[in-house]
Amino acid sequence: MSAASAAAAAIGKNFLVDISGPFNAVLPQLSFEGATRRNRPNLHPGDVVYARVVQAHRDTDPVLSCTDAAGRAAGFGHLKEGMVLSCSTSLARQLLGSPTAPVLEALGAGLQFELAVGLNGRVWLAAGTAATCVVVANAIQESEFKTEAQVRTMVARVLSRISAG
Amino acid sequence: MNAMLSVSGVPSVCAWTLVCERSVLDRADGSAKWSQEGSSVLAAVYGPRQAKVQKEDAERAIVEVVYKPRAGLQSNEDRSLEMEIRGVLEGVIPLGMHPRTSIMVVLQVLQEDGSVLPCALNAACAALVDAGVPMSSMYASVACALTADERLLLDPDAAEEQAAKARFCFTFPHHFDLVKAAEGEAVVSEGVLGSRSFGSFSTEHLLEAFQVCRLGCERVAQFARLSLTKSLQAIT
Repeated sequence: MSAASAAAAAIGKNFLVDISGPFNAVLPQLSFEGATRRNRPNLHPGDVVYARVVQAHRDTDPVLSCTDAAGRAAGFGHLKEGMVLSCSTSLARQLLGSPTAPVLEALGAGLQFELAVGLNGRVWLAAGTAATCVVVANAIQESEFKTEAQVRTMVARVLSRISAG
Repeated sequence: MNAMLSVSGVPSVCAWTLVCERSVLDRADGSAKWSQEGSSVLAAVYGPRQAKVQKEDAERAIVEVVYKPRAGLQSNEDRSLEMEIRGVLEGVIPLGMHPRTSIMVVLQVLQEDGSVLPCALNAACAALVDAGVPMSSMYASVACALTADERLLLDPDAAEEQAAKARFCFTFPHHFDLVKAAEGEAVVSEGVLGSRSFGSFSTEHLLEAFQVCRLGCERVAQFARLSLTKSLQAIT
């Protein structure tokens, strides 16, 4: 299970990360590709990371990792720049579903942006301009309760307004 | 999203209007405003979130209820209602799933015209569902008054409550039987989650009130399901 989260602090050999759950999760400093005791990842409070949940027992704090099982980065790690928006976990699951969610397909046809979706309801977005980010963020939020046809109409309207303006 | 449903009477009650609005508050994890005739309660749920160290329980979540009356400060009666509501919630929430957390339910009475406790309980249930707090079942609550001439009135208003010999409030868990009907029929459990009574009454009165409230809960359960389904549908 993947989660996009905000790093809180480095305590000892772990980072504490907020994953929008009741407790902060623990991300060991060595759970990054190519991390050693000399070569630690340079994360500060407020940074966003894309990690997977290694352990989520109800009695202990969740444990995250920024590598896959074999130790490679595989898309996990520090997400630089961009913005984070919060959505419901059901919308996050729709965005992560396969085939691709209609809102992402429709937006991707007209705009350039980078997206990381966490199952915990956090979505990281980066694009060339802030305006594109805002457009994509709003479109994603609006698509939660719409049918596919409604989503396509909405995105078409948004894209036409951008190209006109 | 609101869903308004007029329910036609069960024996010895007039039609009463139920309204439920969900996700009313932005900052709460879940919220709902439940109105029945003249009474209206706003419920907000915060949790499961980290509990205070003094209050946390290592093995289960703690349920905290705050019941705020429409006017004035909390009285002892309000604290007693908080205990009743907490008892009901501890009966439906699987507390062992979230150790060391707290689930806080804040209930604010907006309008009161009788039957405020069942209104508050129903609001709490809708808010818990809106927050996504796991529950073993939803529940419905109904009040009933025993008049001086030995009649049972469901959902009494303030005047009827004052004039009554005795008052009862029963809370039943309910589930839906998808086999029985295509729409899903509300099946109210035989067992009761919470019961609160006040006044002088005989055992027969209590058992009759139990049965009458159980029938009333079926209507509330149907309405709660309709309201929930409508709030989750795509807006067409």
